[in-house]
Amino acid sequence: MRRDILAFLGALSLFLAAVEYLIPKPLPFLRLGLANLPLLIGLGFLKPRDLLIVLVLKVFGQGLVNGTLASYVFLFSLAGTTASLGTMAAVHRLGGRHVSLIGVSLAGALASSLVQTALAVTFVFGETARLIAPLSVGSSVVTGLVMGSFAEAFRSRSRWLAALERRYRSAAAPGGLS
Amino acid sequence: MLMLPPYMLIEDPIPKAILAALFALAALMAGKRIRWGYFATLLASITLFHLLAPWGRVLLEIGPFAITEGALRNGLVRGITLIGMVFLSVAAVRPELKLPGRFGGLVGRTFYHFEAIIDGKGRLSRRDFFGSLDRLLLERFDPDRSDLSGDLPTDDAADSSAPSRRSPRPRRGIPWAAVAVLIPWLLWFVTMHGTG
Repeated sequence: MRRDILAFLGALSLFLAAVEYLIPKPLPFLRLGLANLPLLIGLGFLKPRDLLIVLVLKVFGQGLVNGTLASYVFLFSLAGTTASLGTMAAVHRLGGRHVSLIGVSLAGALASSLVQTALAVTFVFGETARLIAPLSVGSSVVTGLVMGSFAEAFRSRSRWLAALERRYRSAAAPGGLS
Repeated sequence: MLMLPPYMLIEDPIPKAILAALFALAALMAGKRIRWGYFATLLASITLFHLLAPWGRVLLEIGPFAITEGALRNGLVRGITLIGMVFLSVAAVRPELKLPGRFGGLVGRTFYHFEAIIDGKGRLSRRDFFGSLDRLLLERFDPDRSDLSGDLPTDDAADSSAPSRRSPRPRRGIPWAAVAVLIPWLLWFVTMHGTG
């Protein structure tokens, strides 16, 4: 059961990435980060190891679907998502009830943006690409706030998520089905 | 992947562009679509950022902006390298890729669920996005159901090491694959001796 839950969360991530592809963007490289929703909502109940599994399924799955598994795109995605998840987990753990998913999402978006900008400067665009850093960070603030608001609204309204969390906790408990 | 090392080592933009075009052709022959506009924009933006750090002989001056040979070459080489890697990856990687072991089984399950969700995407409503998404998710994966794994592929099904599940390798493709691998190596050899 636990593996089914993780697989479904990975699939949801891929689905939301496909949905985001259809959303018109004001800037061609702007990404809303919808695919991170399962990680964001999973922070509240998934164990750290299971969060990492969902992360790997997300990044690996997108690499397979888009065919970019053997290219720099995969490395950028892996680095950005890892930085984002690590930051979100830290903020969530340290902030507790004092930080909403909006704040957690904002921190994750900034971390991802900074890491990917650093990689872009180093491996793609060269030193002059530091000029785009303010734009990249600024856009990540906007997308982080939007995603965090979306996640809060989803978490408060979703019957599916409430049922999933119950089922996961019973499956992950000692003696529960794995 | 044997085609990657010589492709990465070639520093001349023209043979690099030839190889990138071959990779694009391979991707198209594999049935993949290429967003030419996106890659053209990507190449232009990478080149532009490199031009902002002038280096080498000045080719053209547009007001205060100087297009230099070294910066142009660096930008083109870097951009073509990255785009070619994507084309090669798109040609080589397929979603049907079978991975061994428990991780392969998990990936298989993920794609199983992904296809199930995608099938229901028409039920999503812009007016009631949360509600429609919630209903779709409950329909495709109801956590309160007692048995969810009954019709799911088992982990063993994704294990490509099981001999009985292996498809016979097409031997007739091997010479063509060998030719495809040789081309970048030959181009690299020629460019090395040409610049030497």
